[in-house]
This record gives sequence, C-alpha cells and structure tokens, in this order.
Amino acid sequence: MDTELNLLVYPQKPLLMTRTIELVGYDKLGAGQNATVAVMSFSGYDMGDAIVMNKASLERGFGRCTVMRSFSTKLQSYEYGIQEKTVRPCSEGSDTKRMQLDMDGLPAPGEIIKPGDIVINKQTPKDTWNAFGNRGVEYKDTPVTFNGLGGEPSVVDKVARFSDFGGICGIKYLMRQTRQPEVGDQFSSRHGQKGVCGAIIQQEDFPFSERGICPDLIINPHAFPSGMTVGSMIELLGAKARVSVGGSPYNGSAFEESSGGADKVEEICKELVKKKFSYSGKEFLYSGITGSCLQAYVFMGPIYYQTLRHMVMDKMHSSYQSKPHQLTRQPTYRSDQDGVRVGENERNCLTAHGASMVIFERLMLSSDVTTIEVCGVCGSLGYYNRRSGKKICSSCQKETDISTQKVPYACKLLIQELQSMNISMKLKLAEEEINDDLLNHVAVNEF
Amino acid sequence: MEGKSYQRLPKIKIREMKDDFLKFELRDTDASMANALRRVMIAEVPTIAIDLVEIEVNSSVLNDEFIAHRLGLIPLTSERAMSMRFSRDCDACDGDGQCEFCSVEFHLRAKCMSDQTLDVTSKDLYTPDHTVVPVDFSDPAGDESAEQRGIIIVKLRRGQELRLRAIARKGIGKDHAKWSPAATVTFMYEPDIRINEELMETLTLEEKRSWVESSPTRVFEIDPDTHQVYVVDAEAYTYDDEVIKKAEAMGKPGLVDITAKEDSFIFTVESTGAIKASQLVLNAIEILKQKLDAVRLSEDTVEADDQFGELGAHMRGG
Amino acid sequence: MDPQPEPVTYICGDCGMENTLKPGDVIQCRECGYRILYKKRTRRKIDQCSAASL
Repeated sequence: MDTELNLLVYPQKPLLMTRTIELVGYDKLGAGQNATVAVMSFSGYDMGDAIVMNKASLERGFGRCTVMRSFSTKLQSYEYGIQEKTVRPCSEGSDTKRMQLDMDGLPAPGEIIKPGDIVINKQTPKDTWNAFGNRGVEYKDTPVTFNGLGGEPSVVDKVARFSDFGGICGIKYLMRQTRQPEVGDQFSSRHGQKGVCGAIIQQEDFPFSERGICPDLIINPHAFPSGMTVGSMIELLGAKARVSVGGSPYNGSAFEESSGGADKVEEICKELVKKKFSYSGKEFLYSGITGSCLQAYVFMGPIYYQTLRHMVMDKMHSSYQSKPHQLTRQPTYRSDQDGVRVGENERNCLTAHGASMVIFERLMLSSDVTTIEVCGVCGSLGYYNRRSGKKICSSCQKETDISTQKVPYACKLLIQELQSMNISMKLKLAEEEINDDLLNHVAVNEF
Repeated sequence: MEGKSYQRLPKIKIREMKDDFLKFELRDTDASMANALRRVMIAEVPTIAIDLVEIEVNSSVLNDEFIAHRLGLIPLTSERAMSMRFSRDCDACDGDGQCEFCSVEFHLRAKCMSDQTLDVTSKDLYTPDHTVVPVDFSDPAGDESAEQRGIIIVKLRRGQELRLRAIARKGIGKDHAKWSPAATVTFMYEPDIRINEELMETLTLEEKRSWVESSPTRVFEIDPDTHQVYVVDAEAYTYDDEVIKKAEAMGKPGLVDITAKEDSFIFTVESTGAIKASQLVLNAIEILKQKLDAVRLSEDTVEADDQFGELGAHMRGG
Repeated sequence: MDPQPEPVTYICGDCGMENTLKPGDVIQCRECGYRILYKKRTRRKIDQCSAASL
C-alpha cells in the first residue's frame, strides 16, 4: 500500500500539446483539467498570485481530488507465544459509539470513520513473563484511534492483515477522502504559475460573456509580469482555438515556431477570428453582480490547471498551549498540536512598530522565561540552596552579593554551553538607573 | 410623501422557443431587472436532485463518494419542484427528510453477468414516482444514439455489482450547483448601430469591403447593386470595437457610431432539462415576485427602517 | 453493536481465495499460503451525502 496517494477525480487531456508531452505520454495520463480562465482582477481576493474560483465549477467536479493515506500497526509478540491481539468491539460502554468494527476488531472497507474513532480494538498483555503461555494472561485495552485525514471523517479503503515467518502479525489500512477545493488549497498551471485559492464565489456573481461563457477561475494580470510566463498566454490562445475549431491539438512546443515544429500565434489567432472570437483572445464580459458591461476587454480562455497536493486541511493547525521543547524549553511549532511561531519576520515587524512590550511578552514571558542567580562579585552564575536558604556563587564558592534575574532559558543554556567549552561568560550587573530629572522633565512637558 | 413614480412596464417578446432553449427580448426595463432575472434563473429556481445515497453493494471501480457525486449531478424532471417542500422545513416527516412531501426515492440495482462491459446509466434509476425521473435526452424520432442510452454513471465488468437507494430532494442552485436548472443564462444589450452615410460614401468599394470584413462577426454587408454598406445583423455585433478601430486606422473616425441600448436586452436561456426553458423564466419571475413581496410585507413595520434603511423610506415614498 | 455470529472473511492477496479467520488463527491463505489477506467490503449500508465533499 502506498503511504500517500493523491488522485484527481475527473482528469482531462490537455487542450494544448507540446512534443515533449506527447513523448512522455502525458496526454494518456492526465493530471489536470482545462479550466476556463479569465485574466482580470476580481474582488481583491486575488492578490499576490491568488486565484478566485467559481463555486458551481467546484461543485461540478473541478479540482476535486481523492486523498489516500496508509497507516500500519504491528501486533507486538513476546516470549512464550504471548502476543498483542485484536478483539471484538465492546457492545456496551462509552466507547461503543466510537467503534464501527467487525468481530475481528478492525473496520471493513467502505466504513466511514470519524476523527477520534477507534480503528483497531487492540489488547496488550499485562504480564509478558508468564511461562504458561497465552493461557491465564490478563490483557488491557490499548485501542488505536484515528485522527482523521486533516481532522475530517474518512472512509476505509483497504484493510490488510499480514504475518511474517517469525509469527509477527500486523495490520495495514488505507484511508480515503474525497475533497472539494477550498480556500487555501494550491493550484498551478503548467507554467509554474502557482497560486492559492483566495475566494470561492457563486456562479451568478461571476462575470459572463454574451455567449453564456462563465470562467471557472480568475487570475490576476499581475501574475504575468512577475512570473514572466509568456507560454501561459500562448497556451490560452492555442487551447481556445482548439476548443472552437476542434481537430487535433495545436502544437505549443517552445522555440519551434520558426522550424515549423510548433504552431504560430498569428495562425492560431486567425483561427479564432474565423470562429467569431476576437483576434487577441479577449472577450467582452458583463459583471455578474450588476449586469453592466465591464470597462475592459478580458483575456479569457482555457488553461490546463493542476490541483497540487498542498491542501490547507492537512496544514492548518492552532493551539493555545503545547509541550515545550526539552532542551531549549521554548514552545514547539512543528506538529499538529503546536502553535504558530513568532518568527524572524514577525519579530522584525513588531520592532518596526516599536511594540517592544509585545516582543518582550512573546519572546520571553510566553516563551522560555527562567530565573537565574548572578554573582555581583564575579558575574558568573550561582545557585540558591533551598535547605540552607543561602544564595551561593559556584565560582567564588561562598555566599556573595547575589541577585535574581529573569532571562530566556536559551540564554542561560548558552552561558552554560560556553562554559563547557572553557569560555566563561560574565554578567555585569548595575542598579537600574532611574533618572528623576528626566522623569520630572517629561511630566512637566505633559501638562 | 409624494414622489415621482418610477414604475415601468417591461415587455417580453419571444423569438425562439424549444423545450430546452429560449431566446427572448426584454424591453423597457434596466440592467438591474435583467440581471436579477438572470441571477434568479441560475441560483434560485428550485429543482429536484439526488441528495442522499445509501450504498448497499458497490464492487465497481468507482468509490462511494464518486458515485454519490455523479448521481447528484443527474438532472431530474422537476415540474413538481415549485409546489414541493424543502425537506428542512417539512413538518410531515420528523426531520429525516424522507417523506413523500419533500423527497423522492430511487433504487438502482445493476450487476454485470456477461463478459461485455455493462454501462450503468441514469435509465437504471428506478422510482415509483413518474413525475420525477432522470431527464430523457433521446429524440423520439432518432435512432440508437449516445444520448438515448442516458447518462453513464459507472461501467461494470463481469461480476461487479452496484446496489443503492437514493433520496432526491428539492433545492436551489445557490446551495449546490446540482440544483441549478440553468445550463446557460445570459443576456446582451441590444446594439444601436448608426453608419455615417456621408462619410461612408467617401470610401472606395475596396475600402468598404475591407472595413466590412474587419468585423469578426457578420454585422455589415455591401449591397451588390448600389455598393451601399448596410447593417444585416446588429445583434451579431459582439462589442469588439474592431470596426471602430479599423475606421480609425483608415483615417475615417466616426464612420460608425455604436452604442448599447440601455433598456433592451436579448436573453438566451438553456435549461438542463429539469424544467422547460420557458417554465424556467416563468418560475424565475414568480420567485422574484415572492422576494419583493417579502420586502413589502415588512414595509409598514417599524423594523423596516432598521432592516432596509434608506430603501424602506424609498419604498414608502413610492 | 450486536455481536454477529459469523466469522470475518478475508480475500487472499495472491490467489483471491476467500478465507475465514477466527481469533488466534494464523494469517495465511489456506489455498496458496500467501501471508497477506485483505478484508472484504462492509455489508452495512453506507450513507453518502452527495452535496458534501466527503
């Protein structure tokens, strides 16, 4: 079973081919769909390479994909033939609702599993040194729960049991989910013109032409100068001509126009005019919201779009508290249960705003604040002896003038790591200087 | 509060009418009205579509969700939809949305027994209710064509089986595109084309010909006898500005003046087959009226001002 | 869930033979000895909402 599999529900052949695509056989195993694209600005949710999508198109199957992921569990075996086992689901108790399982303690393909449900009703022996073998061994419940693909219900696609010659048994199961594109999912044309879906808008609000054509998605024209994808525009023209003229697809191979290996844009445009389209591929559109004409002609036609595997459903996470990192004692930000990191860029933004207290709070108080004892004589770290109630400097080896300081744990760690490399770092402490004159001066100015 | 009345009496003239196609003119109204009609036709005219699928056996190559989605998109004849209840506000059934007033039940049983691939189509969907059936695209006169076989749901190989029960419910296109009865609803402003005859006569026949041919659609023609340019089909004009650009390039700006008439529209309506195109327009008007009634009902209440603000005051003013 | 008396059937990954397994049985096809067995599709009826993405 593949660990991860992403399938497009309705793949199509591309409308514009190149020689390489033919050689590779891409037309026989499509990985995208021919979307009618309008190059215009719409709603403001198309900033920075984002795309606006037509809700009706998505509901009719555009960009829909099936995600499958496999999981596996081994049934641990111990000495004297004692083994973990799967057992029939309980018929009463609080866990009953969480188990849609057969008598073997496993779900059957086709069953819908909600996040938090039990997929394998497993039991582990309490005592693994019982010389009488499996008889008389007591078991405790150690069920395997399923967290859902992206926290959403999934369908069991396959369940397999296997055993090797050593008698080790295992279970592999493949979970499946069919997903409709949502805001935050990533899409790309074949020119590397990728972007996230910024908004999904009702069909009736979308612009339409007087032929009744309504785009599947809208991309912002600013994507062209920054992406420098001239091929994207040639593809649009070639695909539009192919759709209206029919026959074999135009050849869009790059740099082959002069040698006759590819069709010329001029020729394609002439075909467009024959089919009563504008020579330039632009169209006259009406606003779906007001019904009035749009002020400019809009470049519109089909472009082959791919649904990429980066979906928000798998990535979105948030948390208010997570287990800190063992060494640095800072919050983690990698896994699903972790929070969002205030990174370098965020810190720079806060600095630019002059929000020093926010930085202090985020990077120190809410992160890895610790108290350390600093020797006022030698400047190295000391400690507080709770039994004697004395603060002792480990360098001076006696009770000195020690003060308690708040620092990030990472700072304390750095001092000690340097120490371990024979570098002694000293902290020079001074009384906090409060300038009374300055304070008075400010106060006078205020009133 | 005396006010000027803005009442107009829009007129509709039907040009072409088939079961699933309608072309008509809408005159003496403005874009807001035309667009409201278009929007209601796409998103708010109710139809019936399969909403819940209970799969009993499925050993086909397509998974359950895939089949359920495909079934949902099959158009069903929905003449009854306007009088049916939405299952969410049906009080005959206790919330399960499976009673006779708000739902229609379908059954599908198919198993391939031969070596030949079996096409499971919309025609295999069985229902006791004859008013709600999958749309039949077959031409009564036509012979065995692709359309006659219905819409393919899945193909089965020897030994594969599909058995399911489906519940169809009333809904609108706003909630899901499968409930939209409209395949195409669009309109255009009627163009008003005026040729400057004086300026046109300064052109040679050759120039006239090249100017006429500059339009991607056939809007103008030259009279073979008098060599005069005239408008054959104003509506063929797609507001592409090509002829205007050509005239400018020829050094004759103002050769033709084209404006859009702001109060007349040419509608093209194509239906999915769920309801007749003509019925689609009538239903849309009916729904539009209901929506306006809902506004008018709260006209006199105090809340009207909160709810509609200036619009409420405007309505009372007439 | 009510206890179902029938044992669970599996399909051999190699020869396609149906195998019924009881708890504690060795996971191996009785016909060909293949050690990967797949479960059969559920016999329960599955409700699918056609509008939802799932």
